[in-house]
Amino acid sequence: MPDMLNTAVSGLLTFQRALSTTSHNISNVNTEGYSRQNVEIATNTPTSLGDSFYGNGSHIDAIARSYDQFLTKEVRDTTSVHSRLEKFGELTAHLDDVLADPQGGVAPILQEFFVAVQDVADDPTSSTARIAMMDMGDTLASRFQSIDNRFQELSENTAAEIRRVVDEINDLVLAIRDVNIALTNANAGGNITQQSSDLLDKRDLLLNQLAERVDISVVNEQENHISIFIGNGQTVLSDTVAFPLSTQASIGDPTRDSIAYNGLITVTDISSNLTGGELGGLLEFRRTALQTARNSLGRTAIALAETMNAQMRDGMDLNGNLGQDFFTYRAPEVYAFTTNTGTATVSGAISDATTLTLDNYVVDFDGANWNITSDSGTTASVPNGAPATLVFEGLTLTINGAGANPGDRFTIKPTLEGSSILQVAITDPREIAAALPIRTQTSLSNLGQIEVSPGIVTDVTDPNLLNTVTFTFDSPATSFTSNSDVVVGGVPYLAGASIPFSNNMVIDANGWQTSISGTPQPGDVFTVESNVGGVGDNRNALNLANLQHLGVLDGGIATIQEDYGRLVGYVGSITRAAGIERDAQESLLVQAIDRKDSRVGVNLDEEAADMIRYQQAYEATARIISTVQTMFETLLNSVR
Amino acid sequence: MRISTVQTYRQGIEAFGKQQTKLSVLQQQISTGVKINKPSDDPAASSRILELQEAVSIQEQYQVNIEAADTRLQIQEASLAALGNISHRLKELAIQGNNSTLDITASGAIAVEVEEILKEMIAIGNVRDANGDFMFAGYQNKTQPFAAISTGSISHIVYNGDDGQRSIQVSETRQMVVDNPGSEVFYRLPSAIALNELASIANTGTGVVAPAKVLDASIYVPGDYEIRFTAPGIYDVFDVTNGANIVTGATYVDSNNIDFQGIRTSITGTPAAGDVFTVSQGQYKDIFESVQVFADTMRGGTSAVQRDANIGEFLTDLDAFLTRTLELRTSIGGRMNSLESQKESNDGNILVKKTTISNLRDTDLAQAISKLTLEQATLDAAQAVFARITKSSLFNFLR
Repeated sequence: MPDMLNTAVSGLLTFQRALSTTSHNISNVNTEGYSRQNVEIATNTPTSLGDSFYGNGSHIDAIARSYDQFLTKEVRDTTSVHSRLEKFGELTAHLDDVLADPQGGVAPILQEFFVAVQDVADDPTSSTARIAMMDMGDTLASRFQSIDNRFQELSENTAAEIRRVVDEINDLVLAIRDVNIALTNANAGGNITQQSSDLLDKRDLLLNQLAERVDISVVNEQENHISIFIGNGQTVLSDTVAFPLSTQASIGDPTRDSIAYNGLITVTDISSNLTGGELGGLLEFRRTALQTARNSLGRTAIALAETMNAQMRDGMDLNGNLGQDFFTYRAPEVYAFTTNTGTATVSGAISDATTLTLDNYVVDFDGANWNITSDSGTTASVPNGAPATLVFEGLTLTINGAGANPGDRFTIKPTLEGSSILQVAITDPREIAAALPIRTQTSLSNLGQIEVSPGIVTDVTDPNLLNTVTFTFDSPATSFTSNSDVVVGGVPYLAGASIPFSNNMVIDANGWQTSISGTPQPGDVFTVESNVGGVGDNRNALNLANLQHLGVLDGGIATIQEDYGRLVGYVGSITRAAGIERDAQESLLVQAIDRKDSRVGVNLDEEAADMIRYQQAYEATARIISTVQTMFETLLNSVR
Repeated sequence: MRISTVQTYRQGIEAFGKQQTKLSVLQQQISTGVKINKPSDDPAASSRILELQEAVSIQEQYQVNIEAADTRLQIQEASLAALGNISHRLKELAIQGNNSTLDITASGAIAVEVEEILKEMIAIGNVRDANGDFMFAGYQNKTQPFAAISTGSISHIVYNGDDGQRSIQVSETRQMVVDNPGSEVFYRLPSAIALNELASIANTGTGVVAPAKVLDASIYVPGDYEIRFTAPGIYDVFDVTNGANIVTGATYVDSNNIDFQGIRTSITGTPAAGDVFTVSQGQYKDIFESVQVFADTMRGGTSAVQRDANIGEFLTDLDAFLTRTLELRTSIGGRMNSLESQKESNDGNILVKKTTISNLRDTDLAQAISKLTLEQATLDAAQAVFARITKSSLFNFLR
């Protein structure tokens, strides 16, 4: 009989604890990361009496935590990928927004600038038109600048976020380490207690939060501890020892942070190994989308400036001077690596805007040669010298190689700052070179009929460009002489030499070219002379206006507008692609979470059913106890 | 498969979120009327729209350029028309003047009117456009092209401009020339009595020969003549064709008339012995010279024969000039017509491009609104289902 009481009491305790577990499950139905706890009820060791075994009730064998390692890992890994895509998508959407306003972009102002250029071509002496052209040039330059400023803000925000995420990663690793330590204490008894179940849930939650920030691999150690690895196998948590990450200026580029792993002995730059989570998304954004966007905008600005400048220099302004640069822009950025030991210096200039790419470059010295490598992998090299000149993809690098040590490296960023310092260089509207420097004339007293083309400039740097060259026809007028050395029809002639005349012949001299045709008479004269005073000449302004149609990039295929259009298209495409990828990954993540939840989540109806079950069992057991009491009373009453 | 309670709620919430996003996008498309608000909405179309907008802007600029070209051509046309009218008046005066019964007063009156007309012609040559730039000066349009100067005793008009012509871009591939330099309008008129004068390169003195003109067409003999200085103050006039002097040992006076064979010229400065100045038959003359000679003829002191010959030549010159102005006006008219059709073509081009932009960018309201209705119905259904499913719980049935 006492046994019966004990058995009943054991049942009561069992069902009490079972109910308490059920109530724990119900209270935690909305707790993030909570795994359902099951009670495992086992029967007590039976007592043997004679031939039979009498049962001794039940006890709670264990409170098992619902857990599936594979499903948990799957959720964690999909979370990493999803976080990366989400962060990347969020950042590219910012780029998208910068370029979204059709009136706020470069395109409308670029068009208005060329409208102003055409107005000067229509009326070259009008100071209103010239001032308008300078004003539009200013507006265009500030528009480039303001868009670049927004890109730059985005760059700074990205850098701040990277620092924040690295801090959060370190904090989370420390928190996980603390859980590892707490687990040691909680598991002192050797069995999994309810407290350690909750600790394990908390640790899984922390691991998920860590996975959101960077991709990790988790390895189980003894006693329920774990170690965490990131990147290429760097340990951030080894059981209870944590190794922090930090941000520091990259050795090749002071404007860009790298992620450093502070290991036991050395500090290594692991930026290129971190590919998942928010950190992976931030790093990828910085390296691909943001850099491409800024370089592309810079390249468009540089190409505009270079082509305008080159054409301006070919012309003559209202003061009778040869034209000068219309825009200025910043020269390529050069950074020496902080690990350099030599004293060599490198400076860069844009020599051919039509072949500029969107890459940045690294120049390194191997002891004998300087080698240049672009982001895309193209290379070139030049032997060392002081100076050594390396011309590559539109850049001209001047290297003063004295004192260079092998391993010295430099980062070159040719287009990054191209649009940030774009400015109009001239201050006087009269300096806009709308005319060509030379004009042609036929003498009014000629007896014959000759037509001379107005002339074009082939080499504005020729020192004799503005010299007056006079051509006189001999008698008979089948040949003529010049007072200067010329090349006619490809054949060179000295001054005074007799040049045979044929219709439509082309004459080159002193950096210009013209052609003549007609029926000359002996003694007829035509001249090519400086166009000083020819203020109504608009030939160079027509050339300037034509730059809008000219293919000036990609080896002569893309116009300025098309190059900018490519930036817009690029940003639009990657944003759209990132959104689509993120949505796809989101479906995968939801599915993984659902699978895990179906295994470990709490279902209220299930708990309600359990509650009814344990409650009824408890009532039945309590009834047994009262039956035992009645039996005992009966026994006592019968022996009174 | 087991469903946890959290899953049910999460599914519902996600569904709402997605639907609301779709509704929000549609709302923006309908309220702004534009379905491409960011490049990511349709990257290829965004790029294309930028290209098209640039093309429209360029075409619209060509229309502006065509206006500018048209204006310039009109001023030219008006000037040439005025010159044509002047030529007709001169013709009347020439015919009038060729009447031998005119007395000195009458012919003197004609001379005065002709001088006034000459000034008018010079003024037309110096006409300015709306900016104050000279129309007929070639490239040097801040410099007055025509001015009257004197060399020796001969006063004549010099052209200070050049042969430059301005072009204007009226379409992507086409530049149109919109003016003619003064040298083309007033000069290079073919004439049988044109003269060329030349100072020999070997001259050592400082003599400058003035433009020669035929003052008496009745005795003018075309040929090459040389004014040869035998001594600083003495010159011969040598007929190269016949190989003999026609004037020998004349006294040179600085800036005096030098007349021979119906030709008048003048030399100023100090020629040295051995200096030679050639006056030869030319091909072209300018209209100012013709008019001046006519005025001189009418001013008096000319014989009937001389007057008759001179006026004959003058009428020929006038005809050449009239033909020139008419040719230029025809050319201008043709160009203006061409501009008109180019303008229409550009207009058509602009319309096509704007339509394409609209097709790419603008929301099809009917389509968007029906989509909106559909998505809204889906959201309503999702919400109703959520409300119903979350109501069922075993706890509802427990006492």
